[in-house]
Amino acid sequence: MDEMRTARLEAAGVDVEEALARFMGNEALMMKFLLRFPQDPSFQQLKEALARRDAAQAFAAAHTFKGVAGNLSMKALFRQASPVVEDLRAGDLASAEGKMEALEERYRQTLEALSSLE
Amino acid sequence: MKERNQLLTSEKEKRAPGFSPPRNGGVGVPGIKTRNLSRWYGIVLNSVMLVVVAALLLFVIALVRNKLLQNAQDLGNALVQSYAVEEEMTIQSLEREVLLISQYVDEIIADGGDFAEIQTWLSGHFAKLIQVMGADLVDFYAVIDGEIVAANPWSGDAAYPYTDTDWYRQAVEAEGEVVCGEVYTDAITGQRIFTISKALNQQGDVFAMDVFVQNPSLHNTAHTLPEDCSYYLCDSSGTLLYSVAPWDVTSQELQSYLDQMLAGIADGSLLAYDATFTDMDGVARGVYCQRMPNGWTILLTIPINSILMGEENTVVYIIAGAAAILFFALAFMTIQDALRSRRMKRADDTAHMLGDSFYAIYRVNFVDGTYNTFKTLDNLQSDIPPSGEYALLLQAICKVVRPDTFRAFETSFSLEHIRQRTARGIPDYGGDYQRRFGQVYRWVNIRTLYDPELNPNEVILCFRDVDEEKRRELQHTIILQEALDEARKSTKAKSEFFSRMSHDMRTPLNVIIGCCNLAERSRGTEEQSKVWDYVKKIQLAGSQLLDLINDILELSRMEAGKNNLDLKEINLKELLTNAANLFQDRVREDGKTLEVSIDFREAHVWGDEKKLTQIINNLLSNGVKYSNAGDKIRLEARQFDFQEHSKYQIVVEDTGIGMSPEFLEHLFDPYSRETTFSSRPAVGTGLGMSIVKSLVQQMSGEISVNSTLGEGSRFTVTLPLKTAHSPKRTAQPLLKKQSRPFDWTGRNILVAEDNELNLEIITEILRLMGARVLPAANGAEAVRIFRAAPTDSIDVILMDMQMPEMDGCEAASAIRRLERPDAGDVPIIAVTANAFAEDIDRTTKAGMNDHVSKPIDSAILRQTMEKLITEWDARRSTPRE
Repeated sequence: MDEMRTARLEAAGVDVEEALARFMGNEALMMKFLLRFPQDPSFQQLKEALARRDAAQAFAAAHTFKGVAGNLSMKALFRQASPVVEDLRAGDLASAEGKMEALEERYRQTLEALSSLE
Repeated sequence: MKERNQLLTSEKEKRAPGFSPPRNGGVGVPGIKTRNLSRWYGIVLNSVMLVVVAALLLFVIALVRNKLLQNAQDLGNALVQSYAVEEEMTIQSLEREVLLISQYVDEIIADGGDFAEIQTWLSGHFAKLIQVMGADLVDFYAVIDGEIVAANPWSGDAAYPYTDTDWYRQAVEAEGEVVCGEVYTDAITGQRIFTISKALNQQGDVFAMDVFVQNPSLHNTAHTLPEDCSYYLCDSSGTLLYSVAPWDVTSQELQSYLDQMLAGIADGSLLAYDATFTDMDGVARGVYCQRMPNGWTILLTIPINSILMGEENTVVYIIAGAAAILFFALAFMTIQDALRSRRMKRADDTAHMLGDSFYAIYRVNFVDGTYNTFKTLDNLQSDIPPSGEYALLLQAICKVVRPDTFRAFETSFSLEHIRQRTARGIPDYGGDYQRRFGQVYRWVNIRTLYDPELNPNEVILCFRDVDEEKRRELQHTIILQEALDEARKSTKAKSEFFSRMSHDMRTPLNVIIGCCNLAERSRGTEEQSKVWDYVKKIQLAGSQLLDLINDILELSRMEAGKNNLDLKEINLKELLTNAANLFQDRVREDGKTLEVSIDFREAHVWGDEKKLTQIINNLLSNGVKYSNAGDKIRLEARQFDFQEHSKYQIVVEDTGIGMSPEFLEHLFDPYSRETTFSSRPAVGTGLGMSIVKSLVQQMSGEISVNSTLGEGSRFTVTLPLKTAHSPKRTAQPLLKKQSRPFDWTGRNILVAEDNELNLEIITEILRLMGARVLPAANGAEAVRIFRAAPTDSIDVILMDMQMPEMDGCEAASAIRRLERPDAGDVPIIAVTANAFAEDIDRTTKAGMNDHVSKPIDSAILRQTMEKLITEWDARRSTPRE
């Protein structure tokens, strides 16, 4: 794996070493799934559920999103998603919404970094 | 709690305010409409009266005014008539004078008197007349033999064409009668005059007298004229001859003023008694007129005010004043009445609103023994007449009282008792009782209210539905009673505990004292071995006593909340092994076995050594205590990873006597001990499990227990403990330690995960290992796939915890319940992001073997699966490979 690509992924908040370990050193597989990330609907579902003020659905979506980010070792995104999940687990919509802007910004940055890899 | 059926009576009972809506549906309130109606009647009647009085007053005033005006007209007419007569009389007296002088002149002529003689006589007579009547009133002359003889001769006499004048012609025509002519302007003086003339005896001779009609002394009316009245005299052509008027104006102006009045008289508009016109000063005046026989007209004007407000009108004033007083008094009464009735209505409304909370209200006259209904239930109206004998009312009320309260009720509200109470001056008396409404009994509050100042012979008897309040109150009492019972029970348990503890302490103390006594007695003897035996017994009893006291102290410390964790880096594996080893000797002696199986990647954790030891010791000693010879005791410990925190699960399992479900419920309650254990000597304090639970909770852990009576017990403690080293560094070497690589070829893994991407990731990872994957999108699908798969074909199940339709725990329980040989044994691994102790506990309860944390660590996942499959392979009847 070339260093520039690794650096870009790291800059996007991906723990490349951990991700590679998860895919047992299979870089192609890791890239395949990283590039699949933008198609994952969970972030959109989270936003929609929050807009509907549906705490239960928002929690489920946030939890899934966090899980996906974790499995792709997107550490930065994972760390920012965790408090949102905890807020929603407690049913605190307002607090979760307060954290959404930063999370969305991070999400957008991650997508940008991923698109530059294609 | 015994229900209170008795009639609860109290004097001036204070009730908590009820919040139930008033139940006054169907209650008829008579009289409100009628009252309102009569109130309106009063106001309307008063108003009509006011209007009538006002109209009457106006009518009277008009009547009086008319009468006054009519009287004034009569008076004016009479006055003006008398003036006319007077004017006429003046003219007649002058006519008589003319007749008299004519006769003198005739006599002088008959006596042969000449022209000069006549002249002299006329002048003399004129002088005498002036003396009597005043100057400038009249002037006279005669035509004798065609010559004019004048009393006051003037230069034109000779040439005067007298034959052309009216007075001469008329006198000649009248043949000796006195003639009075029209008013004309005198050619010489320019004054308004008229001439009275008479033919003399001698043919062609005429005597004439000019009258200066404008001379005031001719009319003495001015002196007799009433104040403010005006007098006008005009000739037949309407020309003003004489006037008495206050106006300082020219004769032309006065003439036009007169013309106006004459026009009004001519068209009749001023003839009516109440007709007026406005004079030059703007004052309204009434006009009265009289036409004289010679065609002249006399007018008299009087200001209307002087007619209406004369002294005679005092009566009118008195009447008007009285009427005004009457009117205002009536108006005041009407207003006051309206105000009072409004106040009364408010008081009435208030009373009704207050009355609304009562469904029935009666006024009872206890002296006569009668009652009057103020308000009653609709369905009672047929039974209870609006008024009548109180005894009948009481009878009707008593009919629906609960039979067990009947007698007390009847007595308390009998006339006699009411009289007694009122005699004692009790203002408010009553209580709650149950009354039948149709088929159901409801709580009702009855009261008798008495106010001797308002009505010394009456009480008000009222009924209010208090069912909801009462039930709440009773409910509240039950809750309080339960709390009290609970407190009593707890106190009782504590005192029982203390009495048992005292007993338990006495036993080893007795042993110690007894052995000491025995040892003392052996003093001097050579029985050394016996003494050592006693010392050993003393030692044993002493340590038992110490254990007991330690437990009590520990419990009381925990109850007081004074228990802090003393965190140190410890080797948990060592701690567990050491604790187990301490029991090994005893277990062997008892003919039992104690197996220890510890699987930690990291044995070094931060923990409270003493407390962890206490937990393990308690659990192990429990297992040893409640098992029989030949039973197995197993200590199993595992480590789960979750980010920087690790979970350690310690399981202590025995095949001993087990516990009943009833006891399991109270296992962790302090001061409890399974009574079925009483067949054997009671060992321990019964505090062990409470202490363990408290300690585990203190470490933020969970403890659960499964037990079947006669089959054994399984205690599972899950503790979150911080590892002393990072998990990554140790995970790798552990993986490398794998002596023989696990062959994944042909292994089937059922994966339940709802997120597509996550499912694909995990699928790809497992395929990389060489395994086959059966993907399921949720728990329900996982259960379906497992059920459809051939027995033993699935080697391991990975279960995501949070899934739609059926979550991981439900799915695992469902699989475990399936009726197939592998359902109970197939390894199920929870994949969870929430590795809190209670979540792990849930997975364990759901029958899952282990859990891995999310995000997935491929190495740990692989290791966990390989371990579980290997274990299962060993248990399976047909091991693979």
